[in-house]
Amino acid sequence: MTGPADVIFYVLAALTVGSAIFVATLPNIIYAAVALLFTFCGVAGLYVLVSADFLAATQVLVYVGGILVLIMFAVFLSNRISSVKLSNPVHFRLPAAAICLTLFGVLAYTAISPAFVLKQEITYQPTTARIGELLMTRYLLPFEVASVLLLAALIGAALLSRPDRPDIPRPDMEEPK
Amino acid sequence: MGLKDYLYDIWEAVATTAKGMRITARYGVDPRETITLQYPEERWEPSERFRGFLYNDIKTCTSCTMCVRVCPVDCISLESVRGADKKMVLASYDIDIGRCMYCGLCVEVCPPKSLKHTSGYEKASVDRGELILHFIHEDAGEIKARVAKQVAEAAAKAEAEKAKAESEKPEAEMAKDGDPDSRAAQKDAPPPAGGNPEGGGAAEKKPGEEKE
Amino acid sequence: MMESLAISLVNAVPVLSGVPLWTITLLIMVMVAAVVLTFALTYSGLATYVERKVAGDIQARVGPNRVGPVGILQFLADGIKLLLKEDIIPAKADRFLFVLAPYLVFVGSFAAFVVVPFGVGLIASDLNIGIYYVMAITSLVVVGVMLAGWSSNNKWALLGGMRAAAQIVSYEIPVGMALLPAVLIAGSLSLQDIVRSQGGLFGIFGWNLFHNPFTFLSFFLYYVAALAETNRTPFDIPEAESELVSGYHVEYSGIRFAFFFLAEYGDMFVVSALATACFLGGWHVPFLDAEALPALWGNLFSLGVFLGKTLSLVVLMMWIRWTLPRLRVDQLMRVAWKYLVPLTFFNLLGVSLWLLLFHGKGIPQMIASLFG
Repeated sequence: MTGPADVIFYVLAALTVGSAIFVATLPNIIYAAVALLFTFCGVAGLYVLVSADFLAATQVLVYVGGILVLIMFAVFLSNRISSVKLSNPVHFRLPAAAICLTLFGVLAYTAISPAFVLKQEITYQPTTARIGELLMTRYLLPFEVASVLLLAALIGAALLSRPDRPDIPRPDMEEPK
Repeated sequence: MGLKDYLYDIWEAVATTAKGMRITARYGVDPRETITLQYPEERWEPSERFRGFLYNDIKTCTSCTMCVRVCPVDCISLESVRGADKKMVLASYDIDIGRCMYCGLCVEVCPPKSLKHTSGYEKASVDRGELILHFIHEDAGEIKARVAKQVAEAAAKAEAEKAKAESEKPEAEMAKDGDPDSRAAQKDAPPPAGGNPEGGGAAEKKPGEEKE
Repeated sequence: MMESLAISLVNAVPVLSGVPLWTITLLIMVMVAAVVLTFALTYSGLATYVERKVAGDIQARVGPNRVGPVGILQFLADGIKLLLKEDIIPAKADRFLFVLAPYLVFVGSFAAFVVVPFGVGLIASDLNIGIYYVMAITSLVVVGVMLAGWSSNNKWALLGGMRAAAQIVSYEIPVGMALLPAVLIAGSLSLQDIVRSQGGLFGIFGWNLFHNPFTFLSFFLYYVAALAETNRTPFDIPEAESELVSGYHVEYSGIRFAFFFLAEYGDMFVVSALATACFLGGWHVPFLDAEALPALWGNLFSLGVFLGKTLSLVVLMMWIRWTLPRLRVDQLMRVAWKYLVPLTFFNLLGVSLWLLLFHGKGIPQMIASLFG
């Protein structure tokens, strides 16, 4: 089966994998972040290709609009952005290689194992309503647990940003009356 | 902050925004509020005592150099020679209008009231030299030469008259300040009023008038 | 939709039957994209002219009136000027990112035009995740703005970029939450479905704006939050010219600056179009069903109605801009987190309860059912 869809798939895959390699190897952390942007977009494109539209939009919204912006904020606010040596250090090569190879083995085994049933006919259907239903019924508990975790993180962040010593006056954000 | 304050804040924000927007809407909709003057086509009338470009009426100017002395920024330069009739003859009278700060001191001190402010205020040029207003267009050297010639002629005439008088009447003194012919020549010597009253404004005014 | 168009085209013109279908589909897609982009750019250009005229009127001035009749060609003059200007890249800037950033902003802003429902059949792609797509794709703008700020290697640009990012990320939450009531009522994320759900015989009372008190409030909350998301006065902290010179695009000139400029006006349109589609009934007008008209007239009529509503909202934005002074940074964050976020959540809860209690019926519908 070769058609435009296949070509698009390979282009997207090349974009994703290529920019992922850049993320791992580029010494400049800002460039790595930009490469990460293209990786995310490539993954979103792959989602679109398998007609997982909601997932694709979520990928862009959460990873590009949230995670990537957060990473960039962290980088911008650190004071030694420009020093290339500090930004992307290479440590623990051997353990990292071992972990990666193991992970790759597991993934490769899963991919080629006959556990996946190939569907012959593909019907493109909106997935949003189905995802919503599943989140509210079958996967309600994981969903709620995840939201509690995020809430805890939110409260933690708010707590951390407050000065803990009472003698330091809190920066007054209120309108002077 | 209680709930009441919270709601009051929201109400205040909405109310004040609405008030502001009502005002700007009135300005936006009402054409009478537009105060822009379409300058080259429309222009404001300068007030009576407006201090515009300086204008020197060189016919009445006595070359007293009061204006040159009083000018705080030294923008007036004046050259004069003594004419055959013992009066000063202007050889050149320049005002660097680019330097002038329109303080009006020169106008106030001018004894014959020949220096005046006009209502002109439009002068743009690409060269600073063009900002110097020349009130005498003739070359200063020529005027000087001519005046010197006239003085010499007058002196020669006086000499001749003296000699004649001496021959006739040795005690007689030179009574007249040169003959009438040379006076008339002096009056004609400076060309008609240098610099137009509007300064360079007249030239700039034309396109606007054409548009209208 | 594109594929069905392509099929009908092949059926109509038999010469094309030898060409693979996907190339025709692709060609039609490119053409539609070109049309939408041309519209977007023309609109942006004219909007700059209207903005200056509105500003002039409000400030008791005249505004541009020299180029063409009443200055209508001013935007062309400006555009040509921007195109011809020198494209300066600062020596200490990060060249690659400096060049990349305007494109990200431009793409993020104008890709949202794809799902704007201009008329009955006039929508580039009726994605079934329409609103969600807009929210997602505009997050590219944040990245572009941050990169622009950082790569300029200028302290004002960096501050502006970070402020812009913080502001857009903060205001995305109330924007999303304020749009959700419309999604709840229509039961779909597709903008065309949301517009269709507001039709019916009630005239303007079919609009979501008058569905119930919560949606009424929701429209205004959305408008305020969206105004902040487009970085316009009174929320133009990122480019506050009196303190940050002009924020993240200080160092940009020529065509790259034009990209940022056009993206801002594109954002304004998208935001207003979403407000129109979600709350003001999209292309619906009282007592005339555009869908019942013949296809051509229906499309033209609905296009006119939709543009009329959207552009009025754009002009309202300009009016607000030239009325209100700028907020302080802390006030900006206070508005987002202490007022808009709680109120939009409260609204969402209210709408959900309303739909649950009254079985999805709005107030106009209930009044109508009273009289049989």
